[in-house]
Amino acid sequence: MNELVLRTIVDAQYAESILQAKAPGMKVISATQRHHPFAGFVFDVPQLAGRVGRTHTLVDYFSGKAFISGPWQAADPSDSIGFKPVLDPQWNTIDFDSARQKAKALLATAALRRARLAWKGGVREQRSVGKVWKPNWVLEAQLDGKSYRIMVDGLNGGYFFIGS
Amino acid sequence: MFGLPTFTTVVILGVPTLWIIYTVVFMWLSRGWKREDVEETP
Amino acid sequence: MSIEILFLIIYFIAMAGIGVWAMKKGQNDSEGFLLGGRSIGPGVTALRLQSSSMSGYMFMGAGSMGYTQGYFGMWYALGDLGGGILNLSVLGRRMRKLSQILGSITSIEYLEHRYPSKWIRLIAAPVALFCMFFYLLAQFIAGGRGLEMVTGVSFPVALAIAIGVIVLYTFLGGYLAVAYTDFVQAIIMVVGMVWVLIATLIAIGGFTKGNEAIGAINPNMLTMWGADLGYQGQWGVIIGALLVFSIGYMGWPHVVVSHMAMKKPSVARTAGAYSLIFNLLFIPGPYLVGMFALILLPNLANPETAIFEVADAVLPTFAVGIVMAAIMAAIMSTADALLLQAGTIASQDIYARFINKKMSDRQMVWVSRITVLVLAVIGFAIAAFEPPAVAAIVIFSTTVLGSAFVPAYVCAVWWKKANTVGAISSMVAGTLVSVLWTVSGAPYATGIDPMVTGILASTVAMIIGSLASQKTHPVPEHIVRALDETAKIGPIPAKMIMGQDAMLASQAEMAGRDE
Repeated sequence: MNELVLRTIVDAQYAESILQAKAPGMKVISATQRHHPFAGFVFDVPQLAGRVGRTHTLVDYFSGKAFISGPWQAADPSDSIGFKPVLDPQWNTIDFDSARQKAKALLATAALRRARLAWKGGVREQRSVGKVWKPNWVLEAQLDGKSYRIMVDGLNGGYFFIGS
Repeated sequence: MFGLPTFTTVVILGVPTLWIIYTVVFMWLSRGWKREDVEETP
Repeated sequence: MSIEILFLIIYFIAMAGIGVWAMKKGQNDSEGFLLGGRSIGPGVTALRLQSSSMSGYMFMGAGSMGYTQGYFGMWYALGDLGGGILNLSVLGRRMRKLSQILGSITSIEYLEHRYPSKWIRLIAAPVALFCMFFYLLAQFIAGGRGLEMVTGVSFPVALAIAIGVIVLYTFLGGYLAVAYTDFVQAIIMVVGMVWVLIATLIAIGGFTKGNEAIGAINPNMLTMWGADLGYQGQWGVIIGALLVFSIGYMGWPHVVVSHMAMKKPSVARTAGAYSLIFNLLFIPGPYLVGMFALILLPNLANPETAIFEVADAVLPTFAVGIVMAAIMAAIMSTADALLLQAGTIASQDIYARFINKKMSDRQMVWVSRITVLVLAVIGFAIAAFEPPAVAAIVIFSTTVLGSAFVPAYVCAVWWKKANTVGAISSMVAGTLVSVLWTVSGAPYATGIDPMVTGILASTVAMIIGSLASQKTHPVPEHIVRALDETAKIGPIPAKMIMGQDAMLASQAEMAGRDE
């Protein structure tokens, strides 16, 4: 099964600055990179007026949630020093074939929503990647004497609280 | 008021007022919860 | 050709032209094309709640309610005012997060993920389709009546044209959507409605004068009890009228689906406030215009056309064209949204789930197209020969949807013990009780609205069903975990809670669990 590790766009310092921009005074104590596994598919999706668009999708193995992503940029081999996958929680996990179905269903629904019934269908798979590892940051941070764990998306800098 | 019976006036002004209060309380509560969250942090 | 039709045609050609131009001109950006609806902001979320299914009812049903029952109709409007904020405050945030963690695309698939059993979809999808058909019928009739008035052709012909245009619209809507979004539709609806309302108030000499004139015709119209005081003290009916469009909203599969597309929790909050403002501006209008039509046009053959006729009477000619074009546009895009949702339910939730698990996207399109055509033909057959009252069918289907789905959607996120048995009993009990109660004439005999009995039945069924089967059918472990995560996420600094990216919910959980 082929694998791809995505390049980290948001580095640890940038991740820290994103949080500090929202909450000045937040102190980041540690930043660990964790990689989350997705099934990756590239499709050619017909649009209106005879145009075809190339679309990258990622399907989260651990939740089954499908996303439309931007084009992928592979990490340099030298980057993989910090590679640390998250563990499979074993409770909502899907396999590669269901991931493919999910990705297709997402694209078909999205295309139909946009193009209405003028859409002809005909999504073609161009490429698939068994495991696309997406980098995320887990930050231990402190604010006003309380500690938090926050995840920062390594690609777009979005954040989400894990706990405290 | 407005040439309407009192009860009608009370209802057509009162119920929207209740909804406005509900909205304001919801906006205020969804703010208040967060403050509580922070204070409970160990 | 009348000026109204000219406006109607110019309007649509302009919209389609902009769409085709934008489509040819734009870069080859597939993501932008597909993500059109993904990062939905508070304005669109709020307005979509109201505009995505109500045009036909608002322009016909509400007007006729005002014309025939006076201020009694306001009970429905008063409930409706809070529908958006109630929906967003109760379901918005949690449903968004849970659907992310469970990976659901459609709102019915989401129910099946939360209450794992194929019976959930087998029951929910047909009930949803059945009820949405009535909303659709309301749009067809409204479109037909509007065209009948503007062109003067007979109703069946106008209806056929209207349905034809609506179906055509579902094919061309993708081009239109570039320029003509839900947001624009909602704004046009408000402007059109407020315009008609103001012109009406001017024509009758102001609000107080209008009420006095209504009082001179029939003083009962000014009470909250109906034209013949028939609803005086009938609190069972009145509570039902208040509940239908407030609580009932939370059971609409085609409305709650927009919660799943919201990008941030802050959207739910702001959207709640917006929806209240929009509703205060828009909702009372049609009921009032319908009522004041009694002064301006005391001898209407069909009270449902009150708003169209009033617009024709009080607006200057050019404005009639613009407002009618706006109303027709709203009706069409509402019908288009409903047809597309119905097509999605038929293809994703029925065909792909039960008939052909390996459905290709081409098959999906064809199932959707056939569904749309079948619904259009059945709709024409029913509406052309004996058009039902728009208000009655919309209130009926909202009652059934509300009774069937409100406990299922609400308990899905608020009650951990809600399980599959509870959800199935609740949907079945809600549907059966609300339908049988209506059909058997019980509302007249008992004075209790089917919305009250229906939602009571489905709530009780949910509670008893879930509690009685906790041992035999416990909520599966992965759902319990997902629910824990929906509620948990620990305390978060106030200034940061709004900026969180919900798309990361499940990844964050995994990243944090094994250290």
